[in-house]
Order: sequence, then C-alpha cells, then structure tokens
Amino acid sequence: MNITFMMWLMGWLDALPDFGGRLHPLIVHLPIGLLLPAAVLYFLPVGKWSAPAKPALPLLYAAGTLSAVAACATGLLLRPQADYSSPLIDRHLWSGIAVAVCAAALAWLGYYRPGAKKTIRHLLNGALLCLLMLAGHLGGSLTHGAGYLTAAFAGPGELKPALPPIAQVQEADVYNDLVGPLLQKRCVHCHSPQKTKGDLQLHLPEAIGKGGESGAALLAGQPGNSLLIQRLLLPADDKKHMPPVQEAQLTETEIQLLHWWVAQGASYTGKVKSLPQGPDMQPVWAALQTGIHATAADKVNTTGIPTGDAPMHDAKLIEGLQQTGVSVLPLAQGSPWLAIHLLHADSGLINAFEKLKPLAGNIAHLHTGGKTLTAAQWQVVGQCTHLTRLHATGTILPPEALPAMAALPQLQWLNLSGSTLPPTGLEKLGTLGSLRHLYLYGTALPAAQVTRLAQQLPTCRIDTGGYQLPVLASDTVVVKW
Amino acid sequence: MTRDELHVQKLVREANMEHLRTQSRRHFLKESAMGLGALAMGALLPGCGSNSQPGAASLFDPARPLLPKAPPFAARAKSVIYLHMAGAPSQLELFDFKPELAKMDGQDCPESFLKGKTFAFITGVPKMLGPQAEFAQRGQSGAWISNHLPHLSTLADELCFLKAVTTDQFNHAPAQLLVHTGSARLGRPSMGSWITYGLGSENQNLPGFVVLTSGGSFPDAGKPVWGSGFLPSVYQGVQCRTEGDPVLFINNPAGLNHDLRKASIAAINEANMQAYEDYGDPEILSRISQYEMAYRMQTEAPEVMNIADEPDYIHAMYGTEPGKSSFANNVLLARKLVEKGVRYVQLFDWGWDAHGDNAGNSLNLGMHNKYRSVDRPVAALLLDLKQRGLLDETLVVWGGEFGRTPMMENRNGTANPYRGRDHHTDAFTIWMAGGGVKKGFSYGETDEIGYHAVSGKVDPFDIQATILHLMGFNHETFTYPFQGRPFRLTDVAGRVIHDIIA
Repeated sequence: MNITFMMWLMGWLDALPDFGGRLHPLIVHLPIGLLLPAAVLYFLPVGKWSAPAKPALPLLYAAGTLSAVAACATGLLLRPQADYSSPLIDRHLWSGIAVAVCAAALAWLGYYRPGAKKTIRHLLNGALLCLLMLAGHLGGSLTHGAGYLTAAFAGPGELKPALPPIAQVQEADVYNDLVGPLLQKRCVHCHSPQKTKGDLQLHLPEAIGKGGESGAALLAGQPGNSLLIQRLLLPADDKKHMPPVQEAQLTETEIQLLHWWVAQGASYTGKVKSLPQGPDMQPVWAALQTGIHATAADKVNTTGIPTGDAPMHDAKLIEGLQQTGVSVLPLAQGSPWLAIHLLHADSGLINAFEKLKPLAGNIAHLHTGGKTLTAAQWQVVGQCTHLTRLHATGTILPPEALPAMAALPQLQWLNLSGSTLPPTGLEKLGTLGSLRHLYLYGTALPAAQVTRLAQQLPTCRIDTGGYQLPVLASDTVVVKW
Repeated sequence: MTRDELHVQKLVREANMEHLRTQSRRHFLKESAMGLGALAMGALLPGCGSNSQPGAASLFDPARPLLPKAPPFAARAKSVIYLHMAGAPSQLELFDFKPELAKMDGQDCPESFLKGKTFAFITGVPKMLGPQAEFAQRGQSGAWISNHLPHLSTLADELCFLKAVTTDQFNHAPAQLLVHTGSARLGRPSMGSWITYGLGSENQNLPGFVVLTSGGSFPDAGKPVWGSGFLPSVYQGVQCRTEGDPVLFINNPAGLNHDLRKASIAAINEANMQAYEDYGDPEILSRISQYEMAYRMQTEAPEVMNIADEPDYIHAMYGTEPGKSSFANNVLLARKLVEKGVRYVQLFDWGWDAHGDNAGNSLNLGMHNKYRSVDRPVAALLLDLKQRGLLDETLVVWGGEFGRTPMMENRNGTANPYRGRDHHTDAFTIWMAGGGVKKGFSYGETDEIGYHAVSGKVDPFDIQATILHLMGFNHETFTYPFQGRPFRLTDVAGRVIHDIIA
C-alpha cells in the first residue's frame, strides 16, 4: 500500500462522519414510516380491514427500532455540523432516543412476551405516537425554523421599538447604549454563537467585523454597500429581507440609526455627540428620546410620485384640457398622476384653468412654462393636494401665490428661479414639511428672508445660485508650438 | 383663348399626365397579378398600419410627431445633454489614476498585453507611458481627477464615474456609431432619435433633438451618428450652428416677408396634403409637420440660439466668445435649449485623438489646449443647470468612443515624436451627472496600469440601456419593427446599470 493510497484513504475516512451526519434527514423517514403505521395499526379495532395486518406489528416494531437507532446514530454525527440552538437540539435528541427505546420495548414484547398485558402495550404505543410526533416536529423546526408550519396564518412580525426611551440621547454611548442593544434585541437570537444563521454573529464587535457567509456585514463609511443595511432596506417580500418577516421588524427610526452609524464609520466607542450629525438626524434623536419611533409610513417621500390614492382621471376632462394647448401627461403610462405643462397653453389661461380645476387632485407635477398666473389661478394650484413638483420659473408671482404654495402638503420640489416674488410672505413656505429642494436663483430676495426660511426648513436644500468659477492663471495659457 | 388660359390648360394637362403616370396598364397588371391573393393574405396576417402590431408603430403620430408622450414608467430625467469628445480623450490623463503605470514609464510593454491584440497603430513592442498629469482626490467623495481639469475638480461630488467601460471597436467611425446608434454599422437610429420618438418634446416650436459640433471638424462617423435610421425621418438630429444663422436658411430671403412666408408654406402643405391623400405615405405628413415646425422655429430659434443676450457673468462663467464658434458657446446653447424644453442635445467636440504623431495631437502640447477648452464650460454647465433647478431632471453624459492605451504609440515600429497613446478598447471612462444618477460615485475598476477592466465592466449597450431607463423606458421592450423584426436601440445586448442609479 503506497503513501498516496493511504492518504486518500485517510481523507476519505475523515469525511465519513460528515457524510454519515448528512444521511440523518434521509434515514429519519424510515422510523417514521414504520413506527407511525405500527402505532396507528395497534389502536385500530380488530375487524375485516385491520386483521390481516395485525400479525405484522412485531416486525414493524423491530424494523422501526433498527432504523430509529440508525437515525439516532446519524443524528449524533450531524450534531457538530449544525448551527442550531442547543435547547432545541437537546429536546430533539432525547425525544428521538426515547422513540428508539419505546420501539425496542414494543418489539421485544411483541416477539418474547406475546401475552403481555394490554395496559402496558397501550401505554407504550401511546407514548410512541406522542414521542414520534414530538421528535418529528422538533426536527422540522430545526430545519425550517420555528413557526414554519403556521407561517401562512401568521401576520407580519410586530413593529415595536426595540429600544426603551433614552433620556439624554446625545450623552449616550453609540454602540453600548444604542446599536448594541438594538442588535441584541432584533438580530442576535439568530446570529449568536448558539445559532449562527448565515455563519454571521452580531453579538460582539469582533464578530460583526468578521462577517458571515455572504461576506462582510458592513463597510465602514459606506452604508449603501453594507450588507447589514442593504438587507434592512429590501422590500418586505424580498426573500433576503432582514429580519425575516415573521420576526419583529425594525422601526424606521432604528434603521436610520444604523444607517447613520455605518455612515459615520461604524465605530464601537464614543458618544453620540462626538459624531457628525446632519439635520436629517434630528427626528431620529427626538424619536429615541420619546420612545415613539417613526414607521415606514412616516418615511419622507422623495421620489416625486405622490403618496396616497387618486381615482383614475377622466379621459374627457383631459382631452378638454389638452384642447386649450396645455400638455397633460400621466407620470407613467397607466398612472393616475398627471404632469401639466403650460408652455403651449392659450395666452389667456382662463379656459385652461377652468378645465384644470376638476383634475386638481390628480396633478403631481406642474410647470408654468413662463406664463404669469393670476391670483385666482394660483388658488386653483393651491387645490392640487398631491402636487409634488412645482416649476414657476421666469414669471411674476402675485402675493396670493405663496399662501397657495404653502397649502400643498406633499410639495417636495419647488423651483422659483428667475421669478419675481412678492416682497413679503416668503416665511409662509416654512410650513412645507416635505419640501426637500427649493431654488431661488435670480429671485433677488433679501438674504435675511432666505436665512429665516432656511431655519424654518432644516431638511430642505435651498439653492440661491450665483455660482462663480474662479479665474485661474491656467485659464488663459494657450500652449503653442 | 388668352395666353393665361392657354397656360392654365397646359398646367392642368401636365398635372393629369403626372397623375396618370402612376396608373398605367403595366402598373395595373403588375399589381393585380398577385393583387387579389395578396389582399386576402394581408387580411389574414397582421401587417403595416394594422393595430395588431404590438406597441411600436403606434407611437408615431405623423401629424404631430413631436407631441410629448408619457414613458412606460416614471422617468428620473426629462432631458439629456450628451457631450461626446470625438477622437477619444485619454482616461489615464484625466480620471483613471494609475501610479503603477508611472513606475513603468519607459519600460518595454510586457508580452502579455500585446499577445493576440490588434491595435490601430501600435506595432511591435511599444514602451509604457506614465500618466502625463498629476492626480489628486477631490471633494468629499474622493474622486480622482487630474490637474488638467481644475474647474471640474471642484464639482467632483456631482459626478458619477464609470471607470470600466469597454467596447469592441477600435476605430473612430464604427466606435462612435456603436456608442450612439447601437451598431458599428450604418443604418440604425441614434439614441436621440429613439428618445424623441418615444417621448416627443416639451417645446413644439423647437426641434426635439439638436446637434452642435465644435473643434473644427465633424465626428468621423459623420451625420449618420445623429441620423434617424429606420425611424421616421422627423426624429433625426437637427444640426444647429453657433455662428451666423442657427439653422442654415432659417431666415427669410430678401423680399420675402413673414406673412408671405406663412402663405407660401400653407400653399405647399396643401399640395403635400393632396399627395398624402393620393399615396398615403406617412413621410409626407412628416414633411408637412417639418415645414410648420420650420416656420415656428423662425420666431423661436433665433432667440434661443442667440447667446449674446446672456448676462456678462454667465459669459464669464462659461468662457464663451459670442460670434465665434467654440465648445463653450455650444455648451451655453445646450443649457438654453434644455431650459426651453428640448429633449436631447448632442454636442460633438472634435480633436481628442491624442496619438502624439504631431504637436497638435500630443498629450503635453495640443491636448492641454483641449483640456482647457472643455474644463470651464462643462463645470459652468453643471453649476448653471444646478442653480436653475434643471440638474435634477437633466442627465449630462461626458465621454469618448473608446480609451487610450497605457503604452506610448509607436507608429510603424518607431516611437512617435511626441507623447501620445493609441486607441484602446478594453477600458475607458465616461461620467454622468444629474437626472437620477448617484452623486460622487465611481463604478467599475481597471487593473493597476489601466489596461483591462477588472470589475464593474460595462459596454456602450449598458450605457444606452441605463439612459433609456432613466428616461422611463425598458430598453428591452422599447422597439420598432423593421425588416420583419422588432429592433431596439440596444438590439440584443445591454443591461441597466442599477448600481449607479440613485
């Protein structure tokens, strides 16, 4: 026997236990298939149908015992390979062994004590049935997770804050008081040394850093590229969404906290106040202090597509509006939301706005196309409850325009560049909580008014333009040869 | 009979003869031979003009071809400004920082990079050429931009780089056709044509697809690179000029005033309409609408195309020279056109082909002038679009048709007199900004000397698919029937690069 063969043999023998363990899910069907019918058959009343099979009972018990022993043996070989939690494995282990013992007792009784008393047989068979079902159910839970069977009936996991209210958020330690407990409550029961789903553990900083099956859990400074954050942000019906839908979910506030933590470098030391915080984190800190977290429904919409429902627009109304020269287009084919452009509208606009009024609830985007709207027409604009984008550039705005704009609850994007605004009233726009972009280039507004508005709208980006490119020496150097 | 009556009689007879020419006996026999059978077959199968042809031809309304239409799903961008640097700018001198290449400067090129490769001009074993630029990381995103683009460097956080773009064409004309029409061969519609076909244009008084060229010459692929291919010809790019008349012959000749022009166009269109009723050719309707568009352009185009009216600080920002033809002028025009609602503005700047075979083509001489000529205008464009709130809805794309080799070009076996690089298909850089792409982001990586793309490889089809996606189209279902099968811009390739979409 040469060395190569010996080495091959050793390698093959090394792999045997693993292989044996993997046979467990296969072999385990044998005792189930033999002992379950045996126990059921035992309890069936003697009659035409059961009589021919009753003599087979001892054989069934015997065969069932042998296969149950094999199942236990392979199960013991499988145990080290598993990443299951110990209590569940222990219970499955002992109930499985109990099944084998019961079956062995019944087999022995069947062959060597055929006249044994009914009560002991009843007991043993009853125990066999119960233990089989118990061991089988636990085995299924080990493979597929608890609650697998009834998952179809269960609703989505509850949505309660994982963290208790924290009095002084800024003084809190980022990892020890916020991120750590959050992960502990929502993630660690599947990602711990006892149960390591996806080979990932999240109970300690070192473990988080190590990552898991799919790679690193997080990339410091890059939340968009971090698996931990990506999995949280996936839609609920995506298979890879974390936590799994039947488990308790993270609130929007908690997701934002984790996103911010990774973006700031995922540091495990330091207090909240020591890390940079943008204005968009203010609501997060407020929520953590009060314990009332934002949910996904509160999430600010920045897509430009309105939230809520609208009835499908009437084609006749649209045609009527289009005949006045107004461009009316749905945001996408089949969408109830409309984008209106007034560029080619008749100069009077009176007809146009008459026809536009009934469609006000469907309008998502409006472009005034340089036209000057009257006060009455601005009031119609103010009735467009689902307006998300408003382009009113290069025009003169009457005083009624600003209150009309302020009445638009979903306005995310407002472009007033090149327009002449009324001298007062800019602060009315301060009520637009959803506003994210405001363009005031060329409006010649006093800087003080703009600053005040900026304070009222901390999450809005106000662009007053006037950018300049410096004149560099290299700008005028012409290379000659 | 008076002379006039005789004249009229002659005209009538001539008109009749013209009409009868299409109704000869030969014509009749030729047609009817297969006629009845063909009629029956046509009734059974879906054919031209029938509504059973899915999607495609129904988007074209010959009477109002540029009427704005809604895309299949919500668009992130309303307009596109494509800045094409014809000749292929060198990514190694601008955006792809390769310090390893600097260490190999002057060494012979390793065999592994030459084996099995065809180069445009390199023969034998060339020498490696280190980056002829100094790089630094710019902005908060840390994007690598060289010192040749100081103004653009200040806007690094707005840009989204694609560093691993590859192509399979190593010469200018086929490569430019591939980038813009989706095929290295002539005959396919360009991206601007597809987009105006699908979306129309906001402004009915201006063309939906405008082309502006600079740099002294047309791109190598010529006018087909903005042609309409098999799409109705109304969707071809309209080339506008930056000096003189914005569109050639748009102004009335001497002696023809506005009202007379209107009356004559009305008369021409009446005749054309008659021809349409006789022959049913939809191209006639295109021609009618183009006459009317040209008339409307007479009033609107001169105002839009006139950059002299812009305030001085805008001219200072862009570095424009009204009256002369320059890239800066074109860029300012592009902003004005997009502000007015033009859907697709294509700029071509010729002269980036840095082979190093003469001083004008060299990386250290002629190219410095080219870098300077685009740096300020492009930076100004991004800032100007941003302050007017247009950058959110306008997609700006900048790039060439392929890249340049890490090796110095040695034409005919001897090194070129000046520093230059040959055409390179395996890796180059294109950047996008605005309209739905991530800000301050870089996708794709090349190896240590910038030869191969190692991760995040994309090709022109992927870029076309992504642009169509940002405009609201699924590139796989946005088709047009031609030669018996549905064609699409990306033909059989392309995948949307979702990683760069914000």
